[in-house]
Amino acid sequence: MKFRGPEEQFLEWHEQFADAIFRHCVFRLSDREKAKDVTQETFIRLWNYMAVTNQQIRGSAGEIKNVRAFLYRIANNLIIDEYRRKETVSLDQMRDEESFDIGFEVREDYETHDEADRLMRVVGELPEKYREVLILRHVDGLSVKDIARMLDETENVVSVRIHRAIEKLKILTV
Amino acid sequence: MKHTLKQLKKAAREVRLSAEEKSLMREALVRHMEFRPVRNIDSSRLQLVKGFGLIPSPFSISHLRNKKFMPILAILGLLMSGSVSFAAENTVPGDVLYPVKVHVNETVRGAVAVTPQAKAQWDVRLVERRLEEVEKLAATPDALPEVKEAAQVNLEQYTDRVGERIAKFEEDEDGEDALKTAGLLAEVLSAHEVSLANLAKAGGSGATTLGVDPTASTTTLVAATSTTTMSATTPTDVASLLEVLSKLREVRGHAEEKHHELKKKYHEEDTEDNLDKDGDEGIPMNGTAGVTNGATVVLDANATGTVPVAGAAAGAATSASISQGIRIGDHEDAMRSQGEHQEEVRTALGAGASIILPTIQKDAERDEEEQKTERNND
Repeated sequence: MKFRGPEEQFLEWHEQFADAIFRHCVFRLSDREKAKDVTQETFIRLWNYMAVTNQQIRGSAGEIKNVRAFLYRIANNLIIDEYRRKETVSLDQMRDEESFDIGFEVREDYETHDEADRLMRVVGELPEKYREVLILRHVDGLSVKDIARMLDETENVVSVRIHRAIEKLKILTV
Repeated sequence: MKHTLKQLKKAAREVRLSAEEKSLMREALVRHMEFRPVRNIDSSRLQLVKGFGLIPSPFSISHLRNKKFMPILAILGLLMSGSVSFAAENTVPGDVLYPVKVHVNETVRGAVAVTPQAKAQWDVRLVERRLEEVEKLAATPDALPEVKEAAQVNLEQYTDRVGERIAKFEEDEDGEDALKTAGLLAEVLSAHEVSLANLAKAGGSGATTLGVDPTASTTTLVAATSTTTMSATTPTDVASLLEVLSKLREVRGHAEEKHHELKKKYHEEDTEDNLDKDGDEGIPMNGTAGVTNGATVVLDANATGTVPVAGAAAGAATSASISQGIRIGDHEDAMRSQGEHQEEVRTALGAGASIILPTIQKDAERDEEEQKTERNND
Protein backbone atom coordinates (compact mmCIF):
# COMPACT_ATOMS: atom_id res chain seq x y z
CA MET A 1 0.00 0.00 0.00
CA LYS A 2 1.60 3.20 -1.10
CA PHE A 3 0.14 6.42 0.16
CA ARG A 4 1.38 9.58 -1.40
CA GLY A 5 0.35 12.05 1.17
CA PRO A 6 2.56 14.93 2.27
CA GLU A 7 3.99 12.75 5.02
CA GLU A 8 5.27 10.20 2.56
CA GLN A 9 6.72 12.91 0.39
CA PHE A 10 8.38 14.58 3.31
CA LEU A 11 10.02 11.41 4.54
CA GLU A 12 11.24 10.66 1.07
CA TRP A 13 12.84 14.06 0.92
CA HIS A 14 14.47 13.41 4.23
CA GLU A 15 15.85 10.15 2.97
CA GLN A 16 17.18 11.89 -0.06
CA PHE A 17 18.64 15.07 1.38
CA ALA A 18 19.46 14.53 5.04
CA ASP A 19 23.03 13.51 4.38
CA ALA A 20 23.73 16.44 2.11
CA ILE A 21 22.34 18.97 4.53
CA PHE A 22 24.18 17.31 7.38
CA ARG A 23 27.43 17.41 5.47
CA HIS A 24 26.99 21.05 4.73
CA CYS A 25 26.36 21.80 8.38
CA VAL A 26 29.37 19.82 9.53
CA PHE A 27 31.66 21.81 7.32
CA ARG A 28 30.12 25.07 8.26
CA LEU A 29 29.93 24.49 11.98
CA SER A 30 32.82 22.08 12.51
CA ASP A 31 30.70 20.32 15.06
CA ARG A 32 28.96 17.07 14.32
CA GLU A 33 26.42 17.25 17.09
CA LYS A 34 25.38 20.74 16.29
CA ALA A 35 25.24 19.78 12.65
CA LYS A 36 22.75 17.07 13.51
CA ASP A 37 20.60 19.50 15.42
CA VAL A 38 20.58 22.00 12.64
CA THR A 39 19.77 19.31 10.10
CA GLN A 40 16.84 18.14 12.12
CA GLU A 41 15.60 21.66 12.65
CA THR A 42 15.87 22.28 8.93
CA PHE A 43 13.55 19.41 8.17
CA ILE A 44 11.17 20.37 10.92
CA ARG A 45 10.82 23.76 9.34
CA LEU A 46 10.28 22.19 5.99
CA TRP A 47 7.45 20.16 7.44
CA ASN A 48 5.91 23.15 9.13
CA TYR A 49 5.90 24.90 5.83
CA MET A 50 4.26 21.94 4.17
CA ALA A 51 1.69 21.60 6.92
CA VAL A 52 0.67 25.20 6.62
CA THR A 53 0.65 25.67 2.88
CA ASN A 54 -1.39 22.56 2.46
CA GLN A 55 -4.08 24.37 4.28
CA GLN A 56 -4.20 27.07 1.73
CA ILE A 57 -3.88 25.09 -1.40
CA ARG A 58 -7.07 23.13 -1.56
CA GLY A 59 -6.66 19.59 -2.59
CA SER A 60 -2.96 19.36 -3.23
CA ALA A 61 0.04 19.39 -0.97
CA GLY A 62 1.86 22.69 -1.10
CA GLU A 63 3.99 22.47 -4.18
CA ILE A 64 7.59 23.08 -3.47
CA LYS A 65 9.41 23.71 -6.66
CA ASN A 66 12.98 23.18 -5.64
CA VAL A 67 13.20 21.35 -2.38
CA ARG A 68 16.93 21.11 -2.43
CA ALA A 69 17.47 24.84 -2.73
CA PHE A 70 14.76 25.41 -0.18
CA LEU A 71 16.43 23.12 2.31
CA TYR A 72 19.78 24.76 1.81
CA ARG A 73 18.32 28.14 2.36
CA ILE A 74 16.69 27.09 5.60
CA ALA A 75 19.90 25.44 6.76
CA ASN A 76 21.93 28.46 5.82
CA ASN A 77 19.73 30.75 7.84
CA LEU A 78 19.93 28.45 10.81
CA ILE A 79 23.71 28.35 10.53
CA ILE A 80 23.85 32.11 10.44
CA ASP A 81 21.74 32.15 13.58
CA GLU A 82 24.22 29.81 15.19
CA TYR A 83 27.03 32.17 14.40
CA ARG A 84 25.17 35.15 15.69
CA ARG A 85 24.81 33.30 18.91
CA LYS A 86 28.54 33.37 19.28
CA GLU A 87 28.35 37.04 18.53
CA THR A 88 30.89 38.87 20.58
CA VAL A 89 33.60 36.38 19.89
CA SER A 90 36.44 37.37 17.66
CA LEU A 91 37.36 35.32 14.66
CA ASP A 92 40.49 33.98 16.28
CA GLN A 93 38.71 32.91 19.38
CA MET A 94 36.12 31.21 17.25
CA ARG A 95 38.76 29.28 15.51
CA ASP A 96 40.24 28.02 18.72
CA GLU A 97 36.97 27.24 20.39
CA GLU A 98 35.37 25.22 17.68
CA SER A 99 35.72 21.55 18.24
CA PHE A 100 36.60 19.54 15.25
CA ASP A 101 34.50 16.54 15.88
CA ILE A 102 34.30 15.01 12.50
CA GLY A 103 33.04 11.81 14.00
CA PHE A 104 33.56 8.24 13.01
CA GLU A 105 32.09 8.27 9.59
CA VAL A 106 35.33 8.81 7.76
CA ARG A 107 36.43 5.58 6.21
CA GLU A 108 39.31 3.46 7.31
CA ASP A 109 41.52 4.89 4.66
CA TYR A 110 44.19 6.33 6.86
CA GLU A 111 45.78 8.47 4.31
CA THR A 112 42.53 10.09 3.41
CA HIS A 113 41.58 10.20 7.04
CA ASP A 114 44.43 12.46 7.91
CA GLU A 115 43.98 14.44 4.78
CA ALA A 116 40.30 14.82 5.43
CA ASP A 117 40.91 15.91 8.97
CA ARG A 118 43.45 18.37 7.88
CA LEU A 119 41.32 19.78 5.17
CA MET A 120 38.33 20.16 7.40
CA ARG A 121 40.41 21.98 9.91
CA VAL A 122 41.73 24.26 7.28
CA VAL A 123 38.32 24.93 5.92
CA GLY A 124 37.30 25.79 9.42
CA GLU A 125 39.96 28.44 9.43
CA LEU A 126 38.56 30.25 6.48
CA PRO A 127 36.59 33.37 7.06
CA GLU A 128 32.93 32.61 7.21
CA LYS A 129 32.02 34.39 4.02
CA TYR A 130 34.56 32.38 2.06
CA ARG A 131 33.73 29.15 3.74
CA GLU A 132 30.08 29.59 2.97
CA VAL A 133 30.46 29.87 -0.76
CA LEU A 134 33.27 27.37 -0.98
CA ILE A 135 31.22 24.66 0.68
CA LEU A 136 28.08 25.45 -1.21
CA ARG A 137 29.93 25.23 -4.46
CA HIS A 138 32.44 22.46 -3.96
CA VAL A 139 30.97 20.31 -1.25
CA ASP A 140 27.28 20.65 -1.96
CA GLY A 141 27.68 21.15 -5.67
CA LEU A 142 25.23 23.96 -6.03
CA SER A 143 25.45 26.12 -9.10
CA VAL A 144 26.76 29.64 -8.84
CA LYS A 145 23.34 30.80 -9.90
CA ASP A 146 21.60 28.99 -7.06
CA ILE A 147 24.13 30.21 -4.57
CA ALA A 148 23.70 33.76 -5.72
CA ARG A 149 19.96 33.51 -5.37
CA MET A 150 20.23 31.98 -1.94
CA LEU A 151 22.62 34.55 -0.60
CA ASP A 152 20.96 37.40 -2.37
CA GLU A 153 24.10 38.46 -4.17
CA THR A 154 25.04 38.78 -7.80
CA GLU A 155 26.60 35.84 -9.56
CA ASN A 156 29.65 37.93 -10.12
CA VAL A 157 30.20 38.58 -6.47
CA VAL A 158 29.74 34.90 -5.74
CA SER A 159 32.23 33.85 -8.40
CA VAL A 160 34.85 36.21 -7.15
CA ARG A 161 34.34 35.15 -3.60
CA ILE A 162 34.70 31.51 -4.51
CA HIS A 163 37.87 32.21 -6.34
CA ARG A 164 39.33 34.05 -3.40
CA ALA A 165 38.23 31.28 -1.07
CA ILE A 166 40.15 28.74 -3.11
CA GLU A 167 43.20 30.90 -3.09
CA LYS A 168 43.03 31.33 0.63
CA LEU A 169 42.57 27.63 1.03
CA LYS A 170 45.65 26.87 -0.98
CA ILE A 171 47.69 29.21 1.12
CA LEU A 172 46.47 27.64 4.29
CA THR A 173 47.16 24.11 3.18
CA VAL A 174 50.73 24.67 2.25
CA MET B 1 48.34 22.54 -4.42
CA LYS B 2 46.11 21.70 -7.29
CA HIS B 3 44.64 18.77 -5.54
CA THR B 4 43.20 20.71 -2.67
CA LEU B 5 39.78 21.02 -4.11
CA LYS B 6 39.68 17.42 -5.16
CA GLN B 7 40.75 16.35 -1.74
CA LEU B 8 38.18 18.56 -0.22
CA LYS B 9 35.48 16.99 -2.27
CA LYS B 10 36.72 13.54 -1.48
CA ALA B 11 36.80 14.24 2.21
CA ALA B 12 33.38 15.74 1.96
CA ARG B 13 31.87 12.65 0.39
CA GLU B 14 32.77 10.64 3.41
CA VAL B 15 30.90 12.77 5.85
CA ARG B 16 27.42 11.46 6.36
CA LEU B 17 24.90 10.41 8.93
CA SER B 18 25.14 6.90 10.26
CA ALA B 19 22.15 4.70 9.62
CA GLU B 20 21.25 4.91 13.26
CA GLU B 21 21.55 8.65 13.41
CA LYS B 22 19.40 8.94 10.38
CA SER B 23 16.65 6.73 11.69
CA LEU B 24 16.69 8.49 15.04
CA MET B 25 16.20 11.75 13.24
CA ARG B 26 13.47 10.22 11.16
CA GLU B 27 11.63 9.09 14.27
CA ALA B 28 11.93 12.51 15.82
CA LEU B 29 10.52 13.99 12.65
CA VAL B 30 7.64 11.54 12.59
CA ARG B 31 6.79 12.52 16.14
CA HIS B 32 6.84 16.11 15.11
CA MET B 33 4.56 15.35 12.18
CA GLU B 34 2.07 13.70 14.47
CA PHE B 35 2.19 16.65 16.76
CA ARG B 36 1.69 19.13 14.00
CA PRO B 37 -0.35 17.40 11.35
CA VAL B 38 -1.49 18.88 8.11
CA ARG B 39 -4.56 20.93 8.82
CA ASN B 40 -7.91 21.35 7.17
CA ILE B 41 -9.52 24.70 7.08
CA ASP B 42 -13.14 23.97 7.00
CA SER B 43 -13.88 20.35 7.46
CA SER B 44 -17.03 19.74 9.37
CA ARG B 45 -16.43 16.14 10.12
CA LEU B 46 -18.75 14.57 12.57
CA GLN B 47 -21.08 17.48 12.67
CA LEU B 48 -23.87 16.14 10.56
CA VAL B 49 -22.78 13.28 8.51
CA LYS B 50 -26.02 12.59 6.79
CA GLY B 51 -27.12 9.06 6.76
CA PHE B 52 -24.54 7.59 9.03
CA GLY B 53 -25.96 8.81 12.23
CA LEU B 54 -22.60 9.94 13.36
CA ILE B 55 -23.20 12.61 15.85
CA PRO B 56 -20.76 14.51 17.93
CA SER B 57 -20.71 13.55 21.51
CA PRO B 58 -22.64 16.00 23.64
CA PHE B 59 -19.37 16.59 25.36
CA SER B 60 -17.43 17.41 22.26
CA ILE B 61 -16.10 20.86 21.71
CA SER B 62 -16.17 20.42 18.03
CA HIS B 63 -16.90 24.05 17.40
CA LEU B 64 -13.33 24.63 18.40
CA ARG B 65 -12.01 22.23 15.83
CA ASN B 66 -9.82 23.49 13.10
CA LYS B 67 -10.50 27.12 13.58
CA LYS B 68 -7.00 28.11 14.45
CA PHE B 69 -4.02 26.49 15.96
CA MET B 70 -4.78 26.63 19.65
CA PRO B 71 -1.95 27.94 21.74
CA ILE B 72 -0.24 25.23 23.72
CA LEU B 73 -0.96 26.89 27.03
CA ALA B 74 -4.63 27.00 26.32
CA ILE B 75 -4.59 23.32 25.54
CA LEU B 76 -2.66 22.54 28.69
CA GLY B 77 -5.08 24.59 30.72
CA LEU B 78 -7.97 22.72 29.24
CA LEU B 79 -6.29 19.43 29.91
CA MET B 80 -6.40 20.16 33.59
CA SER B 81 -10.14 20.19 33.53
CA GLY B 82 -10.29 16.57 32.45
CA SER B 83 -13.10 16.84 29.98
CA VAL B 84 -10.62 17.53 27.23
CA SER B 85 -9.12 14.07 27.40
CA PHE B 86 -12.59 12.75 27.20
CA ALA B 87 -13.51 14.91 24.27
CA ALA B 88 -10.27 14.11 22.55
CA GLU B 89 -11.24 10.48 22.37
CA ASN B 90 -13.33 10.96 19.29
CA THR B 91 -10.92 13.03 17.30
CA VAL B 92 -9.28 12.09 14.05
CA PRO B 93 -6.04 13.24 12.51
CA GLY B 94 -6.28 16.91 11.66
CA ASP B 95 -8.37 17.87 14.63
CA VAL B 96 -7.06 20.30 17.15
CA LEU B 97 -7.38 17.77 19.93
CA TYR B 98 -5.99 14.82 18.07
CA PRO B 99 -2.54 15.26 19.60
CA VAL B 100 -4.16 15.00 23.00
CA LYS B 101 -5.70 11.72 22.04
CA VAL B 102 -2.47 10.24 20.84
CA HIS B 103 0.08 11.76 23.14
CA VAL B 104 -1.82 12.09 26.37
CA ASN B 105 -4.62 9.58 26.51
CA GLU B 106 -2.86 6.82 24.70
CA THR B 107 0.43 7.43 26.47
CA VAL B 108 -1.13 7.25 29.88
CA ARG B 109 -3.14 4.18 29.12
CA GLY B 110 -0.23 2.54 27.38
CA ALA B 111 2.07 3.21 30.28
CA VAL B 112 0.17 0.80 32.43
CA ALA B 113 0.93 -2.09 30.14
CA VAL B 114 3.95 -3.60 31.77
CA THR B 115 4.41 -7.06 30.35
CA PRO B 116 5.22 -7.60 26.68
CA GLN B 117 1.94 -9.42 26.36
CA ALA B 118 -0.01 -6.48 27.73
CA LYS B 119 1.92 -4.15 25.49
CA ALA B 120 1.12 -6.29 22.51
CA GLN B 121 -2.55 -6.24 23.33
CA TRP B 122 -2.47 -2.52 23.78
CA ASP B 123 -0.77 -2.15 20.43
CA VAL B 124 -3.57 -4.09 18.81
CA ARG B 125 -6.04 -1.85 20.56
CA LEU B 126 -4.16 1.10 19.11
CA VAL B 127 -4.50 -0.38 15.67
CA GLU B 128 -8.18 -0.50 16.31
CA ARG B 129 -8.29 3.12 17.26
CA ARG B 130 -6.51 4.01 14.05
CA LEU B 131 -9.03 1.88 12.21
CA GLU B 132 -11.84 3.79 13.78
CA GLU B 133 -10.28 7.02 12.66
CA VAL B 134 -9.95 5.78 9.13
CA GLU B 135 -13.57 4.71 9.18
CA LYS B 136 -14.79 8.01 10.51
CA LEU B 137 -12.90 9.88 7.88
CA ALA B 138 -14.08 7.59 5.14
CA ALA B 139 -17.61 8.35 6.19
CA THR B 140 -17.04 12.07 5.90
CA PRO B 141 -17.36 13.47 2.44
CA ASP B 142 -15.61 16.75 3.09
CA ALA B 143 -12.50 15.46 4.73
CA LEU B 144 -9.42 16.40 2.74
CA PRO B 145 -7.68 13.53 1.02
CA GLU B 146 -4.45 14.34 2.82
CA VAL B 147 -6.10 13.80 6.15
CA LYS B 148 -7.56 10.52 5.03
CA GLU B 149 -4.22 9.47 3.76
CA ALA B 150 -2.56 10.50 6.98
CA ALA B 151 -5.02 8.27 8.80
CA GLN B 152 -4.19 5.39 6.49
CA VAL B 153 -0.50 5.96 7.03
CA ASN B 154 -1.03 5.91 10.77
CA LEU B 155 -2.96 2.70 10.48
CA GLU B 156 -0.14 1.17 8.54
CA GLN B 157 2.41 2.31 11.07
CA TYR B 158 0.57 0.91 14.01
CA THR B 159 -0.14 -2.33 12.22
CA ASP B 160 3.56 -2.58 11.53
CA ARG B 161 4.25 -2.09 15.18
CA VAL B 162 2.09 -5.04 16.01
CA GLY B 163 3.97 -6.96 13.35
CA GLU B 164 7.18 -6.10 15.13
CA ARG B 165 5.82 -7.33 18.43
CA ILE B 166 4.87 -10.58 16.84
CA ALA B 167 8.33 -10.88 15.34
CA LYS B 168 9.83 -10.21 18.73
CA PHE B 169 7.75 -12.93 20.29
CA GLU B 170 8.87 -15.29 17.59
CA GLU B 171 12.46 -14.34 18.18
CA ASP B 172 12.07 -15.09 21.83
CA GLU B 173 10.57 -18.45 20.96
CA ASP B 174 7.32 -17.35 22.53
CA GLY B 175 5.03 -19.06 20.09
CA GLU B 176 1.94 -18.75 22.19
CA ASP B 177 2.03 -14.99 22.45
CA ALA B 178 3.02 -14.57 18.84
CA LEU B 179 0.06 -16.63 17.82
CA LYS B 180 -2.27 -14.88 20.21
CA THR B 181 -1.27 -11.45 19.07
CA ALA B 182 -1.49 -12.38 15.42
CA GLY B 183 -4.90 -13.83 16.02
CA LEU B 184 -6.06 -10.74 17.85
CA LEU B 185 -4.89 -8.51 15.07
CA ALA B 186 -6.53 -10.59 12.38
CA GLU B 187 -9.80 -10.57 14.27
CA VAL B 188 -9.77 -6.86 14.88
CA LEU B 189 -9.13 -6.19 11.22
CA SER B 190 -11.80 -8.62 10.12
CA ALA B 191 -14.39 -7.22 12.47
CA HIS B 192 -13.88 -3.73 11.19
CA GLU B 193 -13.88 -4.90 7.64
CA VAL B 194 -17.24 -6.42 8.32
CA SER B 195 -18.74 -3.34 9.83
CA LEU B 196 -17.34 -1.21 7.04
CA ALA B 197 -18.76 -3.57 4.49
CA ASN B 198 -22.12 -3.40 6.18
CA LEU B 199 -21.95 0.32 6.07
CA ALA B 200 -21.17 0.40 2.41
CA LYS B 201 -23.88 -2.09 1.65
CA ALA B 202 -26.55 -0.58 3.79
CA GLY B 203 -25.75 2.80 2.29
CA GLY B 204 -26.07 4.34 5.69
CA SER B 205 -29.59 3.82 6.87
CA GLY B 206 -28.74 5.83 9.90
CA ALA B 207 -28.96 2.82 12.13
CA THR B 208 -25.33 1.95 12.13
CA THR B 209 -22.75 3.68 14.26
CA LEU B 210 -19.07 3.29 13.77
CA GLY B 211 -17.67 2.66 17.18
CA VAL B 212 -18.27 6.21 18.21
CA ASP B 213 -18.84 7.37 21.75
CA PRO B 214 -21.55 5.08 23.07
CA THR B 215 -22.51 7.49 25.77
CA ALA B 216 -23.60 9.95 23.15
CA SER B 217 -27.27 10.29 23.71
CA THR B 218 -29.61 9.66 20.87
CA THR B 219 -30.99 13.13 20.83
CA THR B 220 -33.22 14.77 18.35
CA LEU B 221 -30.13 15.30 16.28
CA VAL B 222 -29.96 11.68 15.33
CA ALA B 223 -33.64 11.46 14.74
CA ALA B 224 -33.44 14.46 12.52
CA THR B 225 -30.59 13.08 10.47
CA SER B 226 -32.22 9.72 10.09
CA THR B 227 -35.45 11.13 8.82
CA THR B 228 -33.84 13.63 6.54
CA THR B 229 -31.73 11.05 4.85
CA MET B 230 -33.26 10.01 1.64
CA SER B 231 -30.78 8.28 -0.56
CA ALA B 232 -28.44 8.63 2.34
CA THR B 233 -25.07 8.02 0.83
CA THR B 234 -23.98 9.91 -2.21
CA PRO B 235 -22.03 7.85 -4.72
CA THR B 236 -18.77 9.38 -3.57
CA ASP B 237 -19.29 8.31 0.00
CA VAL B 238 -19.69 4.71 -0.93
CA ALA B 239 -16.77 4.97 -3.29
CA SER B 240 -14.41 6.21 -0.62
CA LEU B 241 -15.74 3.61 1.77
CA LEU B 242 -15.06 0.91 -0.78
CA GLU B 243 -11.58 2.25 -1.28
CA VAL B 244 -10.85 2.08 2.41
CA LEU B 245 -12.47 -1.31 2.50
CA SER B 246 -10.25 -2.74 -0.18
CA LYS B 247 -7.12 -1.41 1.47
CA LEU B 248 -8.27 -2.79 4.76
CA ARG B 249 -8.87 -6.11 3.12
CA GLU B 250 -5.30 -6.16 1.93
CA VAL B 251 -3.95 -5.47 5.39
CA ARG B 252 -6.29 -8.01 6.86
CA GLY B 253 -5.11 -10.54 4.29
CA HIS B 254 -1.51 -10.08 5.36
CA ALA B 255 -2.43 -10.34 9.01
CA GLU B 256 -4.32 -13.52 8.44
CA GLU B 257 -1.54 -15.02 6.39
CA LYS B 258 0.80 -14.36 9.25
CA HIS B 259 -1.66 -15.87 11.64
CA HIS B 260 -1.99 -19.01 9.57
CA GLU B 261 1.71 -19.27 9.29
CA LEU B 262 2.14 -19.05 13.02
CA LYS B 263 -0.68 -21.45 13.58
CA LYS B 264 1.00 -23.99 11.40
CA LYS B 265 4.19 -23.48 13.23
CA TYR B 266 2.91 -23.78 16.72
CA HIS B 267 -0.32 -25.70 16.49
CA GLU B 268 0.04 -28.33 13.85
CA GLU B 269 -3.33 -29.91 14.40
CA ASP B 270 -5.34 -26.86 13.46
CA THR B 271 -3.96 -26.23 10.03
CA GLU B 272 -6.77 -27.40 7.78
CA ASP B 273 -9.52 -25.54 9.56
CA ASN B 274 -9.12 -21.99 8.47
CA LEU B 275 -7.42 -22.22 5.16
CA ASP B 276 -10.42 -21.41 3.05
CA LYS B 277 -12.20 -18.98 5.28
CA ASP B 278 -10.97 -15.90 3.52
CA GLY B 279 -13.75 -16.21 1.03
CA ASP B 280 -14.37 -12.74 -0.12
CA GLU B 281 -17.40 -12.87 -2.29
CA GLY B 282 -17.50 -9.22 -3.11
CA ILE B 283 -18.98 -7.34 -0.22
CA PRO B 284 -20.26 -9.76 2.37
CA MET B 285 -23.87 -9.36 3.31
CA ASN B 286 -24.29 -8.89 6.99
CA GLY B 287 -20.96 -10.45 7.43
CA THR B 288 -21.94 -14.04 6.96
CA ALA B 289 -19.68 -14.90 4.06
CA GLY B 290 -16.32 -13.39 4.74
CA VAL B 291 -16.66 -13.28 8.44
CA THR B 292 -16.17 -16.76 9.68
CA ASN B 293 -12.65 -15.85 10.56
CA GLY B 294 -13.57 -12.78 12.45
CA ALA B 295 -16.56 -14.33 14.11
CA THR B 296 -15.33 -13.42 17.52
CA VAL B 297 -15.13 -9.72 17.95
CA VAL B 298 -12.39 -8.98 20.34
CA LEU B 299 -12.11 -5.34 21.14
CA ASP B 300 -14.58 -3.47 19.05
CA ALA B 301 -17.74 -2.63 20.88
CA ASN B 302 -20.25 -0.98 18.64
CA ALA B 303 -23.83 -1.94 19.20
CA THR B 304 -24.30 -3.24 15.71
CA GLY B 305 -21.13 -5.21 15.99
CA THR B 306 -23.07 -7.86 17.74
CA VAL B 307 -25.52 -8.31 14.91
CA PRO B 308 -23.12 -9.65 12.33
CA VAL B 309 -21.46 -11.76 14.95
CA ALA B 310 -24.71 -13.40 15.89
CA GLY B 311 -25.57 -13.85 12.26
CA ALA B 312 -22.24 -15.43 11.55
CA ALA B 313 -22.32 -17.64 14.55
CA ALA B 314 -25.73 -18.90 13.62
CA GLY B 315 -24.95 -19.51 10.00
CA ALA B 316 -21.45 -20.77 10.45
CA ALA B 317 -20.47 -24.12 9.08
CA THR B 318 -19.45 -26.80 11.51
CA SER B 319 -15.84 -26.54 10.53
CA ALA B 320 -15.95 -22.92 11.51
CA SER B 321 -17.07 -23.80 14.96
CA ILE B 322 -13.85 -25.65 15.52
CA SER B 323 -11.91 -22.54 14.71
CA GLN B 324 -14.30 -20.56 16.78
CA GLY B 325 -13.78 -22.84 19.68
CA ILE B 326 -10.09 -22.28 19.52
CA ARG B 327 -10.52 -18.63 18.92
CA ILE B 328 -12.82 -18.19 21.83
CA GLY B 329 -10.30 -19.87 24.03
CA ASP B 330 -7.69 -17.34 23.02
CA HIS B 331 -10.26 -14.67 23.09
CA GLU B 332 -11.24 -15.30 26.65
CA ASP B 333 -7.66 -15.21 27.71
CA ALA B 334 -7.33 -11.94 25.93
CA MET B 335 -10.46 -10.60 27.54
CA ARG B 336 -9.45 -11.73 30.94
CA SER B 337 -6.12 -10.02 30.78
CA GLN B 338 -7.78 -6.98 29.34
CA GLY B 339 -9.96 -6.92 32.41
CA GLU B 340 -6.88 -7.20 34.53
CA HIS B 341 -5.36 -4.47 32.55
CA GLN B 342 -8.29 -2.24 33.35
CA GLU B 343 -8.01 -3.11 36.99
CA GLU B 344 -4.39 -2.19 37.03
CA VAL B 345 -5.19 1.10 35.48
CA ARG B 346 -7.78 1.90 38.08
CA THR B 347 -5.64 1.03 41.04
CA ALA B 348 -2.49 2.52 39.62
CA LEU B 349 -4.04 5.82 38.87
CA GLY B 350 -5.96 6.06 42.09
CA ALA B 351 -7.94 9.01 43.17
CA GLY B 352 -6.36 11.73 41.18
CA ALA B 353 -7.17 10.01 37.95
CA SER B 354 -10.57 11.42 37.32
CA ILE B 355 -9.17 12.86 34.16
CA ILE B 356 -8.54 9.60 32.43
CA LEU B 357 -10.89 7.26 34.21
CA PRO B 358 -14.06 8.15 32.37
CA THR B 359 -12.53 7.11 29.09
CA ILE B 360 -11.06 3.96 30.48
CA GLN B 361 -14.27 3.08 32.18
CA LYS B 362 -16.09 3.45 28.94
CA ASP B 363 -13.71 0.95 27.39
CA ALA B 364 -14.07 -1.40 30.29
CA GLU B 365 -17.83 -1.30 30.04
CA ARG B 366 -17.69 -1.99 26.37
CA ASP B 367 -15.38 -4.89 26.93
CA GLU B 368 -17.58 -6.37 29.59
CA GLU B 369 -20.57 -6.03 27.39
CA GLU B 370 -18.73 -7.92 24.73
CA GLN B 371 -17.75 -10.69 27.04
CA LYS B 372 -21.39 -11.21 27.85
CA THR B 373 -22.35 -11.16 24.22
CA GLU B 374 -19.66 -13.64 23.42
CA ARG B 375 -20.76 -16.06 26.06
CA ASN B 376 -24.30 -15.81 24.81
CA ASN B 377 -23.19 -16.61 21.33
CA ASP B 378 -21.34 -19.71 22.26
